[in-house]
Amino acid sequence: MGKVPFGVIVASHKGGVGKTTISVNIAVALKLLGYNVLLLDTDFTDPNIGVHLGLEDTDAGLLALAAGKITASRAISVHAPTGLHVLSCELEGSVAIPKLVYAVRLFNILLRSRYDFIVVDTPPGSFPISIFNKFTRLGKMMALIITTPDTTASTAAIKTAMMFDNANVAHELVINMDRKRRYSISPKEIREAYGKKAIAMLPFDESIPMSIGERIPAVLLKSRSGFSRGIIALAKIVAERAKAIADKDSKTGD
Amino acid sequence: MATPYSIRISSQKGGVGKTTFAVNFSVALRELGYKVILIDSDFVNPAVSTYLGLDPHDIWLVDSIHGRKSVNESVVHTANGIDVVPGKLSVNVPRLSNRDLDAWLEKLKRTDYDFIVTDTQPGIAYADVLKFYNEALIIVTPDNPSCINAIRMVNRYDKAHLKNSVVVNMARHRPYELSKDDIEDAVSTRVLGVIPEDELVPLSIYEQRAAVELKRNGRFSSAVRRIANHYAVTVGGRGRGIGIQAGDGRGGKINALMRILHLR
Ligand SMILES: Nc1ncnc2c1ncn2[C@@H]1O[C@H](COP(=O)(O)OP(=O)(O)OP(=O)(O)O)[C@@H](O)[C@H]1O
Ligand SMILES: Nc1ncnc2c1ncn2[C@@H]1O[C@H](COP(=O)(O)OP(=O)(O)OP(=O)(O)O)[C@@H](O)[C@H]1O
Ligand SMILES: [Mg+2]
Ligand SMILES: [Mg+2]
Repeated sequence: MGKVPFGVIVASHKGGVGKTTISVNIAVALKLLGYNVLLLDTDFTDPNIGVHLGLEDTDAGLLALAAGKITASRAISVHAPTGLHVLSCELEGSVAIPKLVYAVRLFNILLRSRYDFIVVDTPPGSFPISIFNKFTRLGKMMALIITTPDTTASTAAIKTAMMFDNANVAHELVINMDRKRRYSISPKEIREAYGKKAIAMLPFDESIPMSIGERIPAVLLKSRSGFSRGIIALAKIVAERAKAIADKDSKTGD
Repeated sequence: MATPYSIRISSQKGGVGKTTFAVNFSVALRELGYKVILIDSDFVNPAVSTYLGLDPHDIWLVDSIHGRKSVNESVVHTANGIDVVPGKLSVNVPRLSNRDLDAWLEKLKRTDYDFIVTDTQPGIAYADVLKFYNEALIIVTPDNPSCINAIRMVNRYDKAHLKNSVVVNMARHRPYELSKDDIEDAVSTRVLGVIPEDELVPLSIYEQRAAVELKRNGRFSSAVRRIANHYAVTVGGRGRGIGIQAGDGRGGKINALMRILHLR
């Protein structure tokens, strides 16, 4: 049996907590660590990853691929500065959410691809996790739940955690935009609600909106900032997790 | 009697400040003397009751719609004087039938509120009910992703013949930010106001109170109040008219001055 990509789903019920920013930067960080990475934008109504990376809008992307109209190599764009592969929705027809069968077909294609990692950015809220079933059954997937240190986002994160629990997907919590305010929810409180410690705590960082404006991911633009160092550390944890699972699989053997 | 003026608070991008705006805008309209109902129709991540610290409650918007309850039975009266129909926190997003929704919104339209303010989840969950709104406000932050998404939303509203305007939130006046003019050009719809980023907002959420009430003259509060004043002047006459007076009484010079200050 060939190697299967490891899926990293970035999700939250609350909007605007930094899913897209973190997906883009983790994908770039994994790429910088030498892995083969595909960044997948499953925001069917509002694909944003292209905007973050300065890629041109595509008229033949995820939807066409899922519908079987084009090949993967045609649908995927390459982010020239890093060589990162990106698959997003075309804007035309983006209002129509693809049918579940399309999604399943898409994931079958992706499962057979040669990527080490597939980082998946999602729209806010719940989504049909069943489309990831094959990844889940292989155990080749983890979710990063993004929250900010306030009540609504944290409550939403617990909901997201329950959604992943129901689907049997391993998940970890990432706290973003930490500003250490007196009225921020403390990591301890969040840990008590979520049940375990957050895997990463990323600071609020002025260079993030700037990097989005410049369309250069923060880990490239400001590689030494607290945010970038946090992302790189997180990418390493994810890589270790994937390796541990792969090692375990090869031991149990097929 | 005049029917309520119904405003949809929306955004295509998440987390731009819809709920914050909906809550504070409602309270600001109330302070102008209007009768206001705030509907939390965010079925993914309802937050109005958390933001206002409302007491636990037994009829939520979804129950009210499913159970065909009256609007009166379903509202919570708040200390701020606005009425709220709260949204239910649950793991699964409910699916509502268009028929139930229509029936409920018909009832809402027949109430004696001056303004119906509806907070929503990102995007347009039920396109068929757009016909119940008089206007949609699109909240954006002054950056590319948010504004590009707003362009698409404007197109969808235009197709549905729904009047729409933009409110810019969390402005920090940084060099890399889009300016009001940039945004107006890009989205080709009117920008009603620019609300600054203000520490008062996270603090008010923590305190579970409306920011406009917590610090009446803060930068955030003034900007929201200015937008409420705009509605008092443009559509206020539809309601009981108290608003126009209150708006004018307080408005006038102060409004003009604020406009000047805002343009800096
Ligand atoms: N660590 C950070 N420091 C400062 N600003 C940040 C940080 N992370 C994200 N942001 C800002 O927050 C905003 C929202 O981020 P982003 O678009 O990644 O969120 P999202 O969760 O993908 O939103 P949506 O729910 O709409 O998909 C962006 O404008 C970005 O500039
Ligand atoms: N003008 C402002 N100044 C400072 N912080 C703000 C401002 N407006 C909103 N915020 C902060 O931004 C975060 C998101 O705000 P809010 O929950 O209102 O967004 P939303 O659009 O309703 O999100 P969702 O898409 O999840 O419904 C909150 O934590 C709030 O404190
Ligand atoms: Mg996003
Ligand atoms: Mg909201």
